[in-house]
Amino acid sequence: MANILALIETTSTGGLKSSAAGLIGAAAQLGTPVAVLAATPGAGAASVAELGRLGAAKVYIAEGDGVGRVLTRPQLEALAGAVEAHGPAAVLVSNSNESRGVAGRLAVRVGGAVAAEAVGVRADGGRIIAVHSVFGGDYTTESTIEGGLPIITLRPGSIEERAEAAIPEVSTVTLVLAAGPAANIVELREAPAETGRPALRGAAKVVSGGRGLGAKDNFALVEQLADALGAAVGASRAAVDAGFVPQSHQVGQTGVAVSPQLYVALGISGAIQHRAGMQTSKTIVAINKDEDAPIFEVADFGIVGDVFTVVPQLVEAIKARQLAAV
Amino acid sequence: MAISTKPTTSGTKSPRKPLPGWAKGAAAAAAAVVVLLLVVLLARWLRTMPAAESFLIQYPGHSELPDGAPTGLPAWLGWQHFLNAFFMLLIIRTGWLVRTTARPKAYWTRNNKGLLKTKNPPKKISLDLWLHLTLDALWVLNGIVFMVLLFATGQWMRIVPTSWDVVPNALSAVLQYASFDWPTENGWVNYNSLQVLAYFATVFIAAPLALATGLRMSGAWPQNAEKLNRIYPVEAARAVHLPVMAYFVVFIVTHVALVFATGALRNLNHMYASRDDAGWVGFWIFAASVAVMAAGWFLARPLFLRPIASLMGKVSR
Amino acid sequence: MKIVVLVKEVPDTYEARKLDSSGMLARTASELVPDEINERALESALRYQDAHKGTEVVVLSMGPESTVKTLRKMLSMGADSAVLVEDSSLAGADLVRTSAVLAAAVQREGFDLIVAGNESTDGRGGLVPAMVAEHLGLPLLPSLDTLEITAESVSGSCAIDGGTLVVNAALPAVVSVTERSAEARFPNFKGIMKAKKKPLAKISLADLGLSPEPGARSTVTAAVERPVRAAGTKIVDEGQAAQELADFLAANRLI
Ligand SMILES: Cc1cc2nc3c(=O)[nH]c(=O)nc-3n(C[C@H](O)[C@H](O)[C@H](O)COP(=O)(O)OP(=O)(O)OC[C@H]3O[C@@H](n4cnc5c(N)ncnc54)[C@H](O)[C@@H]3O)c2cc1C
Ligand SMILES: Nc1ncnc2c1ncn2[C@@H]1O[C@H](COP(=O)(O)O)[C@@H](O)[C@H]1O
Repeated sequence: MANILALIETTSTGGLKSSAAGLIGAAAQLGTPVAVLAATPGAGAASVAELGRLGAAKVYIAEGDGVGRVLTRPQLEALAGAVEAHGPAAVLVSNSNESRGVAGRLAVRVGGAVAAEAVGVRADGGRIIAVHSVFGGDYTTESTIEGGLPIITLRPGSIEERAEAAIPEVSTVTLVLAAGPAANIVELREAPAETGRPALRGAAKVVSGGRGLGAKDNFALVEQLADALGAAVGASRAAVDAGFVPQSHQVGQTGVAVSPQLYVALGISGAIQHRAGMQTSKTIVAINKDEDAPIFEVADFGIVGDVFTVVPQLVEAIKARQLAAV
Repeated sequence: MAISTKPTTSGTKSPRKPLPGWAKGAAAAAAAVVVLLLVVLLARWLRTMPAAESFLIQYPGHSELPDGAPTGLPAWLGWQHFLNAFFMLLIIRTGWLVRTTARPKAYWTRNNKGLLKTKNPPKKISLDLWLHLTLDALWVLNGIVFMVLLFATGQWMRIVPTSWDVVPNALSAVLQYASFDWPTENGWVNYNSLQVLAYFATVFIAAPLALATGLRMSGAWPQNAEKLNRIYPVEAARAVHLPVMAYFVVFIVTHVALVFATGALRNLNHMYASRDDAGWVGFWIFAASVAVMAAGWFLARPLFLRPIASLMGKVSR
Repeated sequence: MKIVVLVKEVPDTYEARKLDSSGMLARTASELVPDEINERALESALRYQDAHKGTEVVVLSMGPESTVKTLRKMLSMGADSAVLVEDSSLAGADLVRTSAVLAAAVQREGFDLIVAGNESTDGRGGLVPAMVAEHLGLPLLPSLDTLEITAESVSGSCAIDGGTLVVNAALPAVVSVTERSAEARFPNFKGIMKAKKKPLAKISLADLGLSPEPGARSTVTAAVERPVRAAGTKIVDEGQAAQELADFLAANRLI
């Protein structure tokens, strides 16, 4: 089977980021997963076991000083080296702020082409097909690459397939960055540890709040309902702009696109750009006091009412049922 | 994924519509003409009846004014009338925009300092709503001045009915209008009873209603006055505000049409030049006032409003 | 300092956007506007210009003839000149091709800094800036939420999974900005009048010395529209709604 490279993202301490499982899972759909890792000298080996558990058949580690200090280039050199070493049929990269630039640069460097922001991949005869969800899920399209190396960026959290664990074959090379203009990492400000709530991307349930919550303090209502349901917390851009929650919670066209089993929209009007990030959810619930709010057009269950009255009652009702079920 | 673009596209034929808009409009207009014609014929036929004729003699179409009622229209009234018309036009337009625009081009947030400093942070409203509210404030101010002068000068007697015969007289005026044999009173001295009722309703019923319902819907209304808000729910205000607007539109259209149909030059002289003759002065002042209104209509767009709105707050997207 | 802002014309996101059966954007289906993210990119450049007289801001786009309207809008906001790369063989160009053309055009124009949007609202590829940077052998500071430009360098912060990166690079460089970066100004009357006289150059592939044949490319093989969501239940809260919703969630095994 052909080799499929997956560029693994790492944390500042060398651990694997959550995107690794989906990247390796997608690679396994297409061929033999080869995990590619840029690491500081001596740090790569620590990840091998975990990569094997996630299904990497081979691990290509490029170690050098630049990792963590220079942006993009260590990963780019690692990936370019791996392309040469493994002659892959495709390269998979997470479509994240930090990694997608690597995909773009690699395409230019090796004369490949990019299928951007895929939500799925499959092999179709000799071709590799990338599946995309465009215009906020209004369309599903498929693309393929002709005349060059296929490089596919994957929307974080969109791949559910997981590969079977393997005992990887490891190769380690030394990474030398040629002198030249570079983007330098001055500092990494770690986000405060998550509160134990599920992450927004890939969450099975999401409760989002909008401008209708009115104030930052009131956003606690969204969190209470999320906790009662075991859901992740999302928000509209208006809520983010108003400073109720950090930007990482934004759902929509320019935020995170989610597709959970249950999506609850509280005090969100349902502007087309918000719907673009959540309309493919399995079940949509909306509470809004404006009966004409567009969110009701996509809601499976809509309540015309005040979030400040309905949500506390709802939290009580859910808790009561959960107690009864125990 | 990458969306490529293509300069030409095929196959975007619009689906066949049951009836195009203009055809529906034409049908409605034709129906209206027919109905009007029938009304006129009916009125004409009625006027051939002796009973109707004696009713018209007994009730000529206008009531007697109380003693001491002023004659003629002073200049301040002309000004008031113009300002009122100007504000109303733009208020109706902006109100309509507020109602129908799904996506405002710009927003406005009040500077929360100085006189209007509130505990809660000010709400972001659309630029259309800002203009609507600003014009409302000016219109109310103009209205207050109008009321004060109206009662101070006795002009009120001309538009407030003072005896019950205004009702049969109004009926009489309706019959006269409908038969195209129009009432012959002199507006410089006394309006006909239909006019009195219409002006009274507009000034003393519709305008206060528009204000009361608008105020209820505005951000200035106390949101937490629970008892008050239970007696006067915002839904009620919303339900009344639009029909009041519709009333104003119907009133304005009929009013303007009749001003022109019943001795245009003379009527325009009354209101715009405070004189009682059939010269052209009033007409030209009126024409100038229409030009000002057209300019206002044209200039009331974000490009020109933003600098003004920025003086009172922050304009943003 | 000369700043080139990369601008793309996109279908207005406030309307339904359509693809035709070949997966191409149906351009007639919605109004075309400057991408909001590029207005913000321009704003970042204009703020530097406001503070540093003598800064030149050029807007550059690759697109069909209609893009002139978008570029005029950018000129009315305050850009000094505009360049449009327009060529019939570029219809349907993919990311690799687009970036090669843009790189050649900025090279021809000359620059100290290139500012792009982090991702376009119609494509969401977010790859063009990196590819342009690679063509030019320059560093890219991607997806900046904040941006600081000095005479010699750029710096800013970029949100990543797990935190925020603070990054910098010496000029010349490429940066891409997010919607957090700056709220775009409105064009004023003076700006609109001035824009009519500002230079807007149209150049073709031949002017750039590029061949019309693309190399490797990505092509769309299928496009399927999502079925319309059936309308659900809508109830008005009269004190009972929370219970009914809880029943609904329970019935669907969501609690
Ligand atoms: C290029 C572009 C990209 C964008 N990307 C995104 C994106 O990724 N995500 C996104 O969300 N938006 C995005 N937007 C913005 C989008 O257009 C809307 O402005 C935004 O989604 C509105 O957020 P909202 O629904 O919270 O606020 P609003 O539209 O102000 O709606 C608030 C709602 O709360 C309701 N409400 C108020 N009080 C209560 C109460 N007490 N109880 C119940 N309901 C109440 C109101 O009826 C109203 O419907 C984008 C816009 C553009 C131009
Ligand atoms: N055709 C184009 N013309 C000019 N700039 C573009 C074009 N395509 C992409 N860009 C720039 O690249 C950014 C990211 O685009 P994308 O990679 O398509 O998501 C955009 O915000 C623009 O700044």
